[in-house]
Amino acid sequence: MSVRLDHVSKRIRGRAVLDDVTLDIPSASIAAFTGPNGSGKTMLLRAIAGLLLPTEGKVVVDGTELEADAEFPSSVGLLIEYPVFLSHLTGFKNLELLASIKRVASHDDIAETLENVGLDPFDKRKVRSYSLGMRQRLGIAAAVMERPKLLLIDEPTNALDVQGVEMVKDVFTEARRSGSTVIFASHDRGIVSQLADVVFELHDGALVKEGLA
Amino acid sequence: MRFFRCLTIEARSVVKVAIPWAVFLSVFSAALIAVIQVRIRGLGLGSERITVGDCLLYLTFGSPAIEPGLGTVSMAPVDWLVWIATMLFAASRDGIDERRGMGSSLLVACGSRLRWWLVRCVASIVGVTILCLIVWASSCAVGMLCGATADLGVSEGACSLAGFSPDNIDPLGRSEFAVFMLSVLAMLAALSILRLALSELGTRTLSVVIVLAVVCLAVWIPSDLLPGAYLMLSRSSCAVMGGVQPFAGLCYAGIVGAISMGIGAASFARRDIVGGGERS
Ligand SMILES: Nc1ncnc2c1ncn2[C@@H]1O[C@H](COP(=O)(O)OP(=O)(O)O)[C@@H](O)[C@H]1O
Ligand SMILES: [Mg+2]
Repeated sequence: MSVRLDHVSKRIRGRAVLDDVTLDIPSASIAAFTGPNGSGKTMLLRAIAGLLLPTEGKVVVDGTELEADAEFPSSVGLLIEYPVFLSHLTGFKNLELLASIKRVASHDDIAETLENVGLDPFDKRKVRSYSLGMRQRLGIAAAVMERPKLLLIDEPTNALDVQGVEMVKDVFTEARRSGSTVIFASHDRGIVSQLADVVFELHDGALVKEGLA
Repeated sequence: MRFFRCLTIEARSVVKVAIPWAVFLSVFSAALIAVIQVRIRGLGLGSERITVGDCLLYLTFGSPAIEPGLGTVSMAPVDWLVWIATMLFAASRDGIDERRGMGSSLLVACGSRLRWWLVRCVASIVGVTILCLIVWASSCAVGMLCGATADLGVSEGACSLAGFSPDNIDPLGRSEFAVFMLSVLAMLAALSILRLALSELGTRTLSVVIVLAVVCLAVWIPSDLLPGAYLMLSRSSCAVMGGVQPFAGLCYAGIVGAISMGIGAASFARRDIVGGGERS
């Protein structure tokens, strides 16, 4: 699934949070947004998901322009900002609830995904007793369980230990191998240079550098 | 299909929030019935057996219209207000509760903003309906435990206490009463959608204040145009000559609900889903 942004600007209460961003991300690649805090990485991910509507310009996902009240991209998995879940349910139940809408992922798929991110599918604890790192893993599991063609992940390595970071690398490269496009945002240059095929650097909402990793 | 799957998820969470309120309201209405029962006996009006209709009447009578020039100072019908206010806000939430994590994942999985908005509206209706039915059912159950007969007709004692003149007891027919209860349910559902739309346009607190104020206006201002009038049995044609027609209430509720749904949808379609509960 390819993603194209064409002169996208977004102003919120008069302030530019995205400033004339034009970029192209080919299918089956891993792209990274990088830049300091507040540079607009999360906003850019939201715009690609269709959650943020540009003031100017257009966002084209898989050849279709996202517009007000258009459908969201059909095959997309996302983890934007924080891994927030229903805290009174177990991790498995949370994923089951989410999966019940599209019915693409079966129980076995959910269990397998949980194992892949290093969580126990039979864990009876509620999400409220999860550590931040466990929530992050669950967030990644929620994004990938339906094997979407487009993955949008914000700060994938947040709160993760060394094994967690390795898990992220495995999950991303596996997604690319199976033909999905992975777009992630991170201020961690290490992980960006190790994982991304193409890197976009943002500053104050504007694209300041684009290049191969 | 996806609409119904999203609705299942939403309705479940609405009901989960509404259950404690339903319990509260059931206890409240049971207490109300008991108090009024005692007052009827005290006034020596309770010659006949009370009916299930009486129990529902207690919940919905509100306050009779104030007649100008008579110098009557109307007391706010506190019991009625508690019931209506709880009904309106127990099962209601914002356009989207939580813009990060699960909230936005559910929205995107749902497919489009419009579908999501419709799901939220229908979930509100489901919530109000379930809450209403629980409260009515438990009121009737409490009534029957106190010896009420399973009859929708309303007894003379209850009518006198509600302030209806005896001449008007007669027109209180069973089928008309049933239509009235249905119109109350419809109007509550419509107002919950109005509140949802207002919270989409402004803030949640604002929406609560506005809707409650509009409903309360009907207590002091007799007008067929105020939605509150259709929520009080004491203002309906079931109880007084020239009162509001329950059937008109049904139509009015439909119009209020549809307009609110439309305005909310137009606003939500252009809505940015950004974090922190802030709006853009
Ligand atoms: N809910 C919001 N409302 C208005 N402005 C916001 C909101 N969230 C973030 N911003 C602003 O948008 C800009 C970009 O934020 P963001 O994309 O979150 O940065 P980051 O690169 O750290 O992810 C920042 O200047 C921030 O202040
Ligand atoms: Mg960010």
